[in-house]
Parts: sequence; C-alpha cells; structure tokens
Amino acid sequence: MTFFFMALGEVLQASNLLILAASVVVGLVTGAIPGLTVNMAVALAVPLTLSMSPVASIMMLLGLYCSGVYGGSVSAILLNAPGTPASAATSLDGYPLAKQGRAGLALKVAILASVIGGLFSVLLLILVAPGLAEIALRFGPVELAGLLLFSLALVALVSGADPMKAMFATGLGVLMSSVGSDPMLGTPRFIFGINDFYDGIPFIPLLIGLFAVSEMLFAAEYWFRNRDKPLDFSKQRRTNRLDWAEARRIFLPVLSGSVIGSFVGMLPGLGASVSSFLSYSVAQKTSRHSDEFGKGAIEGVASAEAANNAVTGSAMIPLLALAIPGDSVTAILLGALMIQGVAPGPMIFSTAPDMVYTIYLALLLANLFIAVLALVAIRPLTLVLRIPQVYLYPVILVMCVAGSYVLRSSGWDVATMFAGGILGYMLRRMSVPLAPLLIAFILAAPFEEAMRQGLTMSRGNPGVFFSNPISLGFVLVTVAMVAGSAFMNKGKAV
Amino acid sequence: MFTRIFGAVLSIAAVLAGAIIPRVHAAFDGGIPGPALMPLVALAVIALGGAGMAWAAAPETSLPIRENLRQVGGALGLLAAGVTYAAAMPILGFVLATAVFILMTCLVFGGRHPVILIVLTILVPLALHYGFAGIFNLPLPEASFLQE
Repeated sequence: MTFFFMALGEVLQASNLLILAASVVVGLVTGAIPGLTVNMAVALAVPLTLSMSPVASIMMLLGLYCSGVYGGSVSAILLNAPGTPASAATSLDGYPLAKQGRAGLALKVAILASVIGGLFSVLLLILVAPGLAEIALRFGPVELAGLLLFSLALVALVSGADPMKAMFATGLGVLMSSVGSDPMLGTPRFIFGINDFYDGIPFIPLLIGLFAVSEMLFAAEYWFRNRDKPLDFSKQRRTNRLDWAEARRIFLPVLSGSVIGSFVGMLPGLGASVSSFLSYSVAQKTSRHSDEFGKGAIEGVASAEAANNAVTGSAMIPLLALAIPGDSVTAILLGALMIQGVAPGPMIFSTAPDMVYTIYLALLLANLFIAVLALVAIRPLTLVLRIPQVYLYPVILVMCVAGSYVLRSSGWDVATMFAGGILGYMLRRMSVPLAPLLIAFILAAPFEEAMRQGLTMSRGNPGVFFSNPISLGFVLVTVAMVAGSAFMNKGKAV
Repeated sequence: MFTRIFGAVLSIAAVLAGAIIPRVHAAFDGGIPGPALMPLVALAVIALGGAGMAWAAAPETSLPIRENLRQVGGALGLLAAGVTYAAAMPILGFVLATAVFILMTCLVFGGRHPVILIVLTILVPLALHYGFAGIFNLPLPEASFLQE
C-alpha cells in the first residue's frame, strides 16, 4: 500500500498532471488529423522523455496513447476519413450520423464509449497482470523461449491482411535486431566495419523513421493535399442530445465492445483495428436495429469506439507481466520505459511496484481527462481538421530530425531515421505491415538469449523444448497456428 | 505481379544469405549455439514469407505509370529536401536551416499563404529550439560559422 500512495503522490503533482493534460490534448489533435497516427505521436514524444522523470514520461506517453486512439474518431465522424486505422469502423456509422445533422451525438457517444472501454480495460489490467506475472516468474529460459516463439508466430500470422507479408516483416525485424554485438558472446555481427553498429540499430531513430517519416513520405505522394473538408456541426440541439433511450441502446454494444477489445488487446499483433471491426460485427449481429448499421446506428459508433479504446489498457497486460508488446505503440512504450530504467516483465511487480501503480493511475487519469477535455475540445478539434497539410507536415519532419538528433547529438541517428523512413515507406507501398517488424525487433533479443541459454543447457539438443510441458504446449500451439494459417491461405489461393 | 516477383527474389536472396553466413559466424560450436543461429532463423522466416508471397499473392491494382511516378516523385522530393536539411543543420545551425527548410518545402508543395509562411518560418524554429534546448535541455546544432 505504501507504494500505491508513493505513486499517487507522484502522479498527483501539479507538473505531472499538467503534462498528462497537455499530452491528452496533443493526442486528441494528432489522432484527429488523418495521416498523423498515435504511433507517430508516441514515437516523436520519446526523445522528449530523456530529460524527464520516469513518472512524467509514463504519464506523457500513456496520455498520448489513450487520447490518440479516441482522437481518430473525430475525423472518422466529421470527415469520413479515420484519423487512425482503429477508427475505420467508427466512420461506417459515424459519418452517416454526421450527414443526418447528428455529428454532436455521434461524437458524444464516441467519447462515452471510449472512456468506458478504456476504464474497463484498465480494471482488467489491474486484476490480471499481477497473476500473470506470478506465473511467468516460474519460467526459466526454456519456457520463456517457448512463450516468445508463440508471441512472434502470433504477430507474424495475424498482423495485416496477408500472413506471408507479416511473416516477412517479422523475419526482417529479427534480422535487423541481430546487427551489433551478439548478446551471449559479444561477437560483433553484421557491422560491416562501421563502429556505430556495435550497439545495434538505434531503436528510437528507427521507430521515428518507420512510423513518422514514412507517414510524411506517404502524404507527400499526394503533395499534401487535404482531400476533404469536415462537415459542420448541426445547430439542432435536440437531435444531438444523448438521452436515456439512446443510452439504453448503446449499453450492450459498449459492454460487449469493452470485453472484445480487452480480450483482443491482450493478444500480441492484433491491435485496435481488429478489435473495433470484430466488436462492430458482433454489435450488428446482436442488435435489434441491425438494418440501421451502415446508415447511422449509434450502436455501431459505440461498439467500435469501446473496443478500440479497450485495447489501450489490456495491451499493457502482456507488456507489464511478460515484457511482450501487444501492438506497435506498446512496443514503443516498452523501449521508452527501458530508456527510463524501468524494465517491464514479471519482476517489475517486486522490483518497481511504484512504477506499476504509476502506470495504473496514469491510465485511469488519462481516460478521465479524455472525458473532460474531449467534451470541451470537440469544436476546436474540428478547426484543426481544416489546417492545410502542406503547412503541418514540414514542421513534423523538422520534429522528426530534431527528435532523432537530440538523443545522442549524433548525425548517425538522423541517418538511421531517414533509412528507417525509406524502409517503412517501401514496405507500406507493398502493403507489408510495420507492427510485426517493430515487435519482432524488440522481442528477438530476449528470444535469442532464452533459446541459446536453453540450447546451451542441453548441449545443443533441441529436444529440451519438447520435454518441458510448458514449452511443449507453446510449441504445439504455434505449430497448430502455422498449419491453420497455411491451410486457410491455401483455401484462399484456390 | 510485382509482389510475386519480389517474393521470389526475396526468398532466393534469403537462401543465398543463409548459405554465406555460416562461413563468417558459427551456428553451433561444439554443441553450443553460436552467433549465426538467430540470423539463420530470421532468414528462414524471410525465405518462407517470400516463397508464400511468390506462391499466393493477392491480385494487385496498379496505377498508370505516370501517376505512379508523380506519387513517388512527391515522396522523393520530400526525402531529398529532408536529407539536405539534415546535412545543412551542422553548417547553418538548427534555427536557420529549419527556417529555410520550412519555407522552401511549403513553397514547393504549394503553400502560398504569406502570413502563414512568415509565421511558420520565424516561430517554429525558435519555438522548437527553445523547447528542446531551453526546456528539455537537449542541445541542437549551432551554426559552424558562429562557433569560431
């Protein structure tokens, strides 16, 4: 309990609350502008955390994460252009509602559903993460290798529409992580005589390049033309009021969306987009107004928004308990936490319980701040959507360059960022998902260490992974997943 | 079609790289796993993914070549401007290089509003410099001609 009060005292400091409020506003704006993603916002914020305390850093990054996911719904409803991929399902009914003059109602439902979904998943995090960590504490290198193999396979098979492209991205992430000193023997690998490669490919410039610079390059393809103008708010107050009848209509979709989003968020690789579409289709199938879906059903908005925000808390469960990121944003968060000297994983509950409570409290507060600030900021947010991209994007590219440079005052980091940008741009043009690459880049090192420790213990006998029941279980599930995916792919090809 | 060719090339390249790596690093040394083990696993995954892309890639809708070149041209233009900006930063310093970069990029990509251009060109470099160096204590490059 002492640690809880320590964390509460830190979190409630005025400066930290101000940082959280500012990051929630920035996240709302970033999420709302189509083309600017949560990944980009969090990646660009990481260099700023270098000079901040761990608590302030955690609050800033989590504030950006939670509000950025909600922010995407604003442009999905007013522009029919989802600010984030996770809000694509919201636009299916949000935009028709806005065209009927009920944009205000759609936005209010989106806020309510997002906040309930977010809070539900934080409660789940608080309940599940410590138990999961306790189980993981009994894991040795053999069991850990099995778990990480399962996570990597899951990421490779379920991220994106094409499992083969995701598999390629996963392999590339693992290969890129092997640049630098070998974790067991210290032997340099693939450094090609370049000393800067000894410590491996720098993580933050790489992720800024992959997620932010590639986004800029993609937007430059259309010469930064905003293609749409947002719809105006209706002045008909009565049709935009969220009354009791409407609250009853959205109760079940919000509840089912929260459960679905929380479950999907715990599984590595799936993320908020999958959860929102899954929740939307469940709400459509179970609703008494299923014929209204796609034409302006508030249940559609509620189910999608509850699900995509429910991912934010539950994605932290594998991150905190197992150090396995659930999506690309939590992968960035993992890197940022490690820079701050906070090492997620089963030990964190005993070595840094104050940090665990800080994360819980920051997530709870971020969701409450979204509820207040989003309601206040709905109208100013619509103005942000009118800013021409041509003035916005060059400024963001400047922030990418400056953010990469300040890490070590190094031109090498800036060069890495541009290389990451080119790689991300090329992969995106070929519809290769970036999340598996980043997650594999992070998970490869612990996987290699665990696998090699296990093999060293057995003098190179791979049978060690099949004689241990836990590891065998993970290997069997992985084999079943790969076989199932290959079978489904074969069916599609035929 | 492009994805299929890319997948095939990727798969062959991964197999070739997998054949070369064991000559540089050992995968196993006296039963102990060596530095080449993980890269070989990664290359096997890449080869499988590439083979899968070559075997069963979904049909693609491609843009006309002129439209495609126009799109890539925009991205390459921004990339060239960004790289030039990063290279000029140690010489001109962060503030001046950023001002020139923002002005030129906005103009090239069609931003013509004079007030916005002036405000962005003056305020953004100063605000970012103050934010990074002043508030967060993260130094940015100064002009080399001012350091004499």
